[in-house]
Parts: sequence; structure tokens; C-alpha cells
Amino acid sequence: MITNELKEKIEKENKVTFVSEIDYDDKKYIKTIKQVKNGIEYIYYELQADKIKEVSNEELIKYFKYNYETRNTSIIY
Amino acid sequence: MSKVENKAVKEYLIKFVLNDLDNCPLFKRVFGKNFARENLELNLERVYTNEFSLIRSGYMDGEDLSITICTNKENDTILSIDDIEKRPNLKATIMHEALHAILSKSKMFCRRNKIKAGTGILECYENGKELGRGLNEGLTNWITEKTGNPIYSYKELTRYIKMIELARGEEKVMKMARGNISRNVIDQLGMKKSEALSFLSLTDEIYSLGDTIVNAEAIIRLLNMKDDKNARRELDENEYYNAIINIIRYMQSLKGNNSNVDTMTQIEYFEDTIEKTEEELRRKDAKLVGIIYEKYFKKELERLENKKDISITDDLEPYDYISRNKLDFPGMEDFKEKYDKIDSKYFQKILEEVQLDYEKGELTGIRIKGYEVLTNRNRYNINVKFFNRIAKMINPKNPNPIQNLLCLTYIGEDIENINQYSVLEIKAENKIIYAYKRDGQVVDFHQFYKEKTEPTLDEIMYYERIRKKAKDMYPNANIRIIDTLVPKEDDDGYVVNTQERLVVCEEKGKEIYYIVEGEDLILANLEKEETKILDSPKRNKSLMVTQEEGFFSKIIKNIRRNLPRNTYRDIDCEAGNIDKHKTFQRSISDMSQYSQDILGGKIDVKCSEPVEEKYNNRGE
Repeated sequence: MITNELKEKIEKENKVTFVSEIDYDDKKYIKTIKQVKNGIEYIYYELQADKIKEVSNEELIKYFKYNYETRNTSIIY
Repeated sequence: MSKVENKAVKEYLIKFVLNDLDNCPLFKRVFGKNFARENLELNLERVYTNEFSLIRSGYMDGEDLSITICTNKENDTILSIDDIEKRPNLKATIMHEALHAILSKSKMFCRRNKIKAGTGILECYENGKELGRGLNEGLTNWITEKTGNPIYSYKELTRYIKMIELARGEEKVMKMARGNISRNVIDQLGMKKSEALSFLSLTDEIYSLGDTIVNAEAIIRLLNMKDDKNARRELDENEYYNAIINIIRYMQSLKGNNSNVDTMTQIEYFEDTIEKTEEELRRKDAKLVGIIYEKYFKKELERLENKKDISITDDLEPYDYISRNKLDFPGMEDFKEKYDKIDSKYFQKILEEVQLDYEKGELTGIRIKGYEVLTNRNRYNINVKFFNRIAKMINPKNPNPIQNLLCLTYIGEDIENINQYSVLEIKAENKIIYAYKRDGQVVDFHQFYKEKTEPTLDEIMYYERIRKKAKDMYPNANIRIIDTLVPKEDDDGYVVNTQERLVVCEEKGKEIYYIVEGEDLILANLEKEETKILDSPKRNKSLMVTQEEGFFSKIIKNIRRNLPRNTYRDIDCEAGNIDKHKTFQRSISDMSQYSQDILGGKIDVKCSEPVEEKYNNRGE
């Protein structure tokens, strides 16, 4: 489980806001949100022992997008 | 069958929605009188019906300004007004989708706020991302409920809004749909910007995980029909399926495995996805409830815990809500401990107030009901302990008849008509209950059986869900739901009448009994002489019931001794001032018949259709 200290460190160093933890394929990831000029962005980090690394793998980002983000569509259910 | 434009339903929708919103003072106060009408005219051009969908009950399309009402039957007949009138779930869907249309922001608003589309709490951005879809559904459902319509989906998301209402007030919640996120929503939530972004985003995640389950279930259905051309085509066109399969292949290749994934492996993958996602959903729901609790309620609960003299004006409603809904969240154990302590002090305080009223000769049914509301128990969870204490206060030697009357009048919504004098002595004769003053003068007259109360829609739906559960187990059985009073020893060793709800499944002359616990049915066994009891109601044998779970074992001993088998005969008993075993049994019988009358017959007439309550009923 991610500690408050680590959460704050990630937020401070990357200027993002922590959203949630994700477990996938025996690894731990962190979902964060950031306000940008034309809306918001989600940035995912992989937790590796004592450091964090931004996820750059397109397929993995796509997986997170399909499972942890809502679709931007004109249809509201 | 593809969807069809349905002008009759559009006409109905406008009338129905405007009428219900017009009768919702809160909506009118926040949005003004003409807001709904003007926005419906602007944002709704067409209404479609009869789109076949197993996962959606309806949707609103902001692009072509339409609302579509779906059906879960292929080749269903064209939806008519009659169909809608008969089915509360369709009305709820219509109200829900219409609210999406009404709350949709104008083009000018979107330009000014640099968004593509939105509803105040939902914003779709130009960069392809969006925020607030989850809470938007919860808020729309919450408004639907405020208009008097029941809801069937997005239970967690609606619950978050309900909790925010308890913390911030209903007006602030309604106002969340009135501006943009960065100023208005944050302000109404009373959160810091980063806090609100994280919160909205997490509720979106809850929505998205629910969608993952729905999508995975749909894909499994299609994969199981792989030889069907249409199913194959649907799969090929399914965006979620293709994305996930590509990811699986990619992951396989990373591990050096063959990247081809056969159908069975795919089905297993999606089954596993459902299981894991359901678990993740539970975890994240608990986290969100925990965030709301920490943010709005924890400090106040601690203040109440440390307060010397609790007052009946202290607001316990949020904590009652958390406790009643058995919400699970980190810190729940600590909450429970504190809440139980405060609740007990609060209960004592109310009893003191009752005692004061009684001593002044001012204890009326209205006051009792007021205090009962303060203890926040609803009519299906009657605080019998509270009524028992009042009864003991009034007549310590013979409290049972008074308690019976309080329970009966409370269920019959008639408690306002009694006062402390009228409950001194009570007689029940031929379905009429008379109340006497000490001098014998009749001061009150209750004809419970003639003045049946209409059950509310929520109650109807609750009973329908219970009935459906029983029907799923016994498809051919005649199902009856009976509310009855059974005696049980309380903590002080007094015999207290406890309300129990029984489901009776009658099939081929055999009756199977279940005790209803919330929405669960717990098997109760008829122990012996089952056939004889059923064949000979006049023998007035006790119902032999045992509980499969240990929790009820104490109650059951008393049920065995006291609950009459025959609940159908006419009442010819004195239930008031004579405290004899047989008389008491008859008064219970009296009560059972009454409950069956108001809860059995009417519900059968009103509810023609069972309602599904699952994730796959989204998009209400």
C-alpha cells in the first residue's frame, strides 16, 4: 500500500494529483491527474521498490485508459 | 429490430417530466420555473424506442439531440404509453435521460468554458479526456429520486451523492449541476481544487470499472456464440474487445508466449476480468466512502462522542445512514464503536424526553412519531425497543397490548390519532380495535382493515425484489409475504414484540418459510407434523420454525411457543387488557392478516413486472 509520504512526494515532484493505485500483472501502478490547458490528463506511474517511473508503454496506457478512464462521448447513459 | 422514432413517447416524456419537476420544489428553487421546459425544447429533438440492448436501458445523445429508450427483448412491440405507465423502471429511465438533456450545457456555455460538451458536473474536453461522468450519473439519479421516481442503477454513485447531501445539504447538491467544475462544483463540494479533481476522477473510475464488468459480460455472451455470424461481426466491431485482445497478445509476446489467443482462453480471460474487477470495485467503493467519511463526518462524530450532554437536536442522520447501509470503509470499526456509544446516549435522551412528556400528560402519538423519526428508523425497521419502553412507562404491569397498538398504528400510519390516555386499555374485536380511557369511555377507534395505506413505490419495489428472489427459487410457487409480530426476550429479560417478515412459498400444498433479513432470504424449517399443521388450521398448532443460521436461535424458541399457524381466520379476540397466552396469539394472528392485506394483495395488483438490479442495467 502506498504511503501518504510517497503520495505527497509524487504529487510535489511531478505536479500531479494522486487518484488511485492499480494492480496489474503483479506490478503496482499509480494513476494521477493533471490539469492542462485544454482539459485534464491522466499520467500513470509504475512503482519500483523505492522509485517511480512514468509509464510510457502505449499498450499498457491503452489498457489503463479502457479500464480506468471514462470515454469522451456525446452519449450520456 | 432497430430503433424507431416514437413521437407519442416524446409527447408523453415532455408532459411527464415537466409535471414531476414542477412538483419538485428543490429543483424549481435552484433552477427557476421555466428552466426545464426551455432546455427540453433546446436539447431534445427526437425520442427513439425499441433499440435492443442487454446492457443499457436508455441513453441521451447530445450530438443529434435525442433520447433512446432501450428494450431487452428482441422484436419487442413498439413501446406505448400504457407500457410506460405500468412499469416504474421505464418512467425512471425516461426521467433520468430527460434530466441529462435538461442539464446539458448550451453551446455558448461550452465555448466560454472551453469544453466540447457538459452538464455542469460532467465536462468533455477538447483533448479527448473528460471528468465527472461518474458523479454526473449519481447526481442525475439523485434528482430522479427527488422527483419521486425510483432508481435501479448506479447504486454506489448515487450513494456518494446522498452522503454529500447529508454533509452539505440538498441545495448545494442540486447546485452542482448549475455551473462548471473548476468554480461551482468545487465550491459546492467544499473541497480544495486538487481534492475535488482526485475525488471526481475516482468516481469516474468506479463508473469505468462498472462498465468493464458490463463489457466483459457482453463479450463472453458473444464469444459463446462464436459460430453465429452476427455475433462474430459484433465482436469484430467491439472497440473494448479489440483493445483488450491486442493487449493480451502484446503481453503474451513480451513473455515469449504464442500471441494467438483461442476462444476458450479469451472466455477465461474475461471471466477472470469480471471477478477481479468486482473485487477492485468493492475496494475502490470502500475507499471512496472512506474519503467522504473523513472529509465530512469524522470530526463531527468525534465531537459528539466527547460531548457531555447529547441533545435530541444533534444531527445523527449521516451516521445512521452509514450504519443502516452497512457501508464498509477503512476506519469502519472505529466508526462503529463511536456510533454505537453515541446512538445509545441519544436513545436514552429521547426516552427522557418521552418520560417528561408523559409526566406532563402531553405524550401524544404525534410526539411519539416525532421521536421515532429522530431515532431514524423506517417503517420496516420499527424500533420495537422504543415502543416497548414507552409501553412500559405507561403501563409497567401490562405493556404488551400498548406496544401492539403502537406498532399497529405506526404501520398503519395512524399513530397521530392516539394519545397517552387512549392507550391505557385496548380491545380488539372483529377486526376493529377500540381504545378506552380508564373510566371505560371510548376515546379512539381504529378500523385498520378498512383504512389500508397505499405502499410507496420504494416499498413496492422492495417487496417485488423479495418476491422475485423467492420466485427464482420456486418458479411455480405461490409467494406470499407476511409481516408478523413475534415475542422475543430483550436485553433486560422482558418479552418484546419483534417485527419479523416471512416469505411463504406455497407449492403443491407444501409451504416453505423464509425469514427476510434486509434483502436476504434465510430458510426457516417447519420442524414436525408439517402436513397435519397445514391440513388442520383449526387445530391452531404453533408454527415450528428453526433457523439455519444461529443468529435467530433465541427468537425461534419463542416463535415455536407463540406464533399461531392459522393466520387467515376472522379475529374474535380481546388483545388488550388480558395478558393471556392464547389471546396474545390471536392478536398476532390479527396483525398477520392485516399485514398480508396491505402488503400482499395490493402489491400483486400494482407490480406486474419484476425489476432487475444488476450492473447490466446501466444507463437508466
